[in-house]
Amino acid sequence: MSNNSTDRQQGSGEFRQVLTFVLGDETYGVDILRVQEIRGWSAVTKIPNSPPHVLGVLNLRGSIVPIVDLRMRFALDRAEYTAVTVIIVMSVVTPSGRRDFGVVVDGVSDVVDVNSAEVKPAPELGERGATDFLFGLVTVAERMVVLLDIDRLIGRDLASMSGAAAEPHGDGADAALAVNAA
Amino acid sequence: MTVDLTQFHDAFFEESFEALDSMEAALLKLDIGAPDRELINTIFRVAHSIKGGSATFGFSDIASFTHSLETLLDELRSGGMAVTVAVSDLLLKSVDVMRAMLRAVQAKQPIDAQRVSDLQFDLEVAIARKNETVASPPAQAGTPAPAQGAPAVPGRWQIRFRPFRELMARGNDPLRMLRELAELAELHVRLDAQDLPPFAHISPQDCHLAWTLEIPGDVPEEAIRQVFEWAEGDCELTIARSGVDDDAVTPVPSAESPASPPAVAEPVAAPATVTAHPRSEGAAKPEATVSALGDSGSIRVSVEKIDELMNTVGELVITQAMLGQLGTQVEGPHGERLRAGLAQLERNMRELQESVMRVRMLPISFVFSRFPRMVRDLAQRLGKQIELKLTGEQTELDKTVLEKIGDPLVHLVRNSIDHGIEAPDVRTAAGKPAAGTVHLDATHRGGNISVEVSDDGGGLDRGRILAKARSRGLIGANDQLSDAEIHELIFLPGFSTAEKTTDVSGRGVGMDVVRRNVKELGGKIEVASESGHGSRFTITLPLTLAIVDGQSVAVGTETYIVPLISIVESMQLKTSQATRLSGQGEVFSFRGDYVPIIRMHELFGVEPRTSALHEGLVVVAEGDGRRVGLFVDDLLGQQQVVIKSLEANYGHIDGISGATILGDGSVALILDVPGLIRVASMRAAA
Repeated sequence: MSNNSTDRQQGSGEFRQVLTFVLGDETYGVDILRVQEIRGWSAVTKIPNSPPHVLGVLNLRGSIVPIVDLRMRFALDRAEYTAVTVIIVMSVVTPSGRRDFGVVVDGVSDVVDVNSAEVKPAPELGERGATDFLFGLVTVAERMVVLLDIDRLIGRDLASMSGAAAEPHGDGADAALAVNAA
Repeated sequence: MTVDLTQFHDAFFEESFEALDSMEAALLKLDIGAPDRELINTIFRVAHSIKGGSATFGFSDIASFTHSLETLLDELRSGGMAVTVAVSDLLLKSVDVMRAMLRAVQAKQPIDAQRVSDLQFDLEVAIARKNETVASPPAQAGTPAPAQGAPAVPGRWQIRFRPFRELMARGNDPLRMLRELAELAELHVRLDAQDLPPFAHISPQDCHLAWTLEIPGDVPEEAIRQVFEWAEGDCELTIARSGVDDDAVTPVPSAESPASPPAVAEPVAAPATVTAHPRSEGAAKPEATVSALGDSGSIRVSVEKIDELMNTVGELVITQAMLGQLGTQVEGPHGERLRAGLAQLERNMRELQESVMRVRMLPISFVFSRFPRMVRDLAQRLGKQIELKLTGEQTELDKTVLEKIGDPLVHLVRNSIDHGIEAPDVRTAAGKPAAGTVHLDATHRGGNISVEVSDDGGGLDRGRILAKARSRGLIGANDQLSDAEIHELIFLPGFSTAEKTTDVSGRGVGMDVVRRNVKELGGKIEVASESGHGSRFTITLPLTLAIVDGQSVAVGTETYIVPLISIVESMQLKTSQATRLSGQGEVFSFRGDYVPIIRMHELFGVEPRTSALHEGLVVVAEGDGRRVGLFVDDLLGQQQVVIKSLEANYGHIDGISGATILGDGSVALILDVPGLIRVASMRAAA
């Protein structure tokens, strides 16, 4: 959440545990407290008219959890889903409460301690809004880890979905249709 | 339009027994000499509510006894009487007697009248002797109370009459009661206006006044009570004799209490048994046989706990289905035994699920019970004569559905009374009985409950509906509409045919809201109307919101669940039966109508197994009064599915009402047919 990001950016020297995972050539990290579980890939049920990076939903011990493909979310090349593809189930905090979702990643690497003082803000890369879901960058064991703010990254997606729910006849639904038709 | 009160008996008994337990507990805590006012109030409230309840249900013996008890308690409350050991014993004994009476009434067995009247006598003696110490020997020894209607008794009746605020709203007029009393004998009235709020705060509909009345003692108590009969439960009323020597004992029902001393002495002797066995039923007697029945009772459980249980059972059902599928793949003798065990498990699961579902079920009488009063009031206000008929009140449905069905029903009943039933003179002129009938009926049909509101009024007025729709521009001036289409019009938002807006109905928020509420519950509403003979609204609802009967259909690799309630028919089409209208999509002929085809794979962007109509199947489904043919690859099977929310973690999807988990653990989406139709028509328009 934003508190976390302030902590990290201002460098209070606090240590946090971060789960790192690989996506293509990059290593990403998320606050481990947000991780619910890690599970293998299984076929998802497609959701009609959903954004392309939302692959579908899975049954996670009785609750229905949407699965997001981070490669597609980050506009990386698509990878095949295989038996070693991993889903990390996380929870985000949205204005409408806690929501669980899973992200498909290439593989889980490690749990590392990150000193928030060492977290550097992500550089502006020209495209506006493209980096605001990043807490920053940190180097762990000579690897650069991109720390994700999943509340911003996913929470915003989910919020826009429930926005469409509130106005089923509104533009949200049309947009979803357009996406699907495209 | 009488209500069958017996259906509420169980609740009354249950509450009364609970109340008696708490009264007993409070009595046992009561300190002799220095009683806690709050405790006395608690005890008083218990007695009062039991009195009110038993009077309502016509258990006059209990009501009469509790009344005496209440009078005594009121003395304690007001400090007119001290709490002594004897009084406390008397009260505990009263608890026992009340419990015994309730048990007897519950088991429909005779009340031990002797025991009751003895104790009631003791109570009234105690009240009459309130200024004496109980220890002193009873003064009226050997003077059994005279029977009622005995020659003039000296002294005066002191009546304290403190109406509750809402007395007048219940149709009682204190002034009328005072007049009636004055007709009995010379009446002295003292007004107590201390509760009167400042003028600005006075509500003319509330009663803020209280009275102390005095009437000569030769007026029979019965006559006084009769005056206040209707106000019982709406006021605090104490009737006591005063200003007399102690010989004047309140008339007591029992004519043969041989000597009073034992009656007074007995309670003193009683405490040991009473307090030592507060829960004991006292003696063997008939009560012992009753207790098994009386104690079976019920416990109150919070809804959350039941929901939790439901969820867990839902999970179990899914796990069981998964195991069942696995079991079919096990070979050999072990597989055989495994399958036998799994079959047993499945049966047990189904029973468990049904039992848990039943826990949430309540009879629809909880909703129906509000109508008699409402109908009576409405009929009076509108100057109509209406008979309300309630049937199928014992039909049970899920609590959540029950809570949400109330408002739509109220709307329908109001509409029937306001728009449907004609004024008496109109009815007689039409050769109908002056009193119209509104009939509410509930029945189970398959996995659904259907609730019907019908009346024998004028039916839906075609002409007026058409005129209204035209004036609103809802239809063209020359559109010819079928009956069904006309009936459909009344469900449009803002549509109301009432010529003048009344406070009863006609604000134009009626039927569209009704339909929306019903739809939110996964149900549907249908109208049938015959001009001059009345109309009938039928609401069909699922019994529960947690489970839906569904037809699984396959589209490509995906499985969808179509709620059975929306399905009209499933069929295979020949290519020749469907036509493509220019730019309008496909239609096919179904029972004389042209029904549009929605190709599910196109709508949901799924790769189908086939796109040739004759190779797949068409599920004719209905939503919002419109029919569509859903083109799918195949039908898979019918099953009850547990509804899971998609919105908890994701969001709303048009055309999808939720999801469920299939036997193999995968997720299937449940289709929302009305939503699908909307999406499809939007798509067609785009």
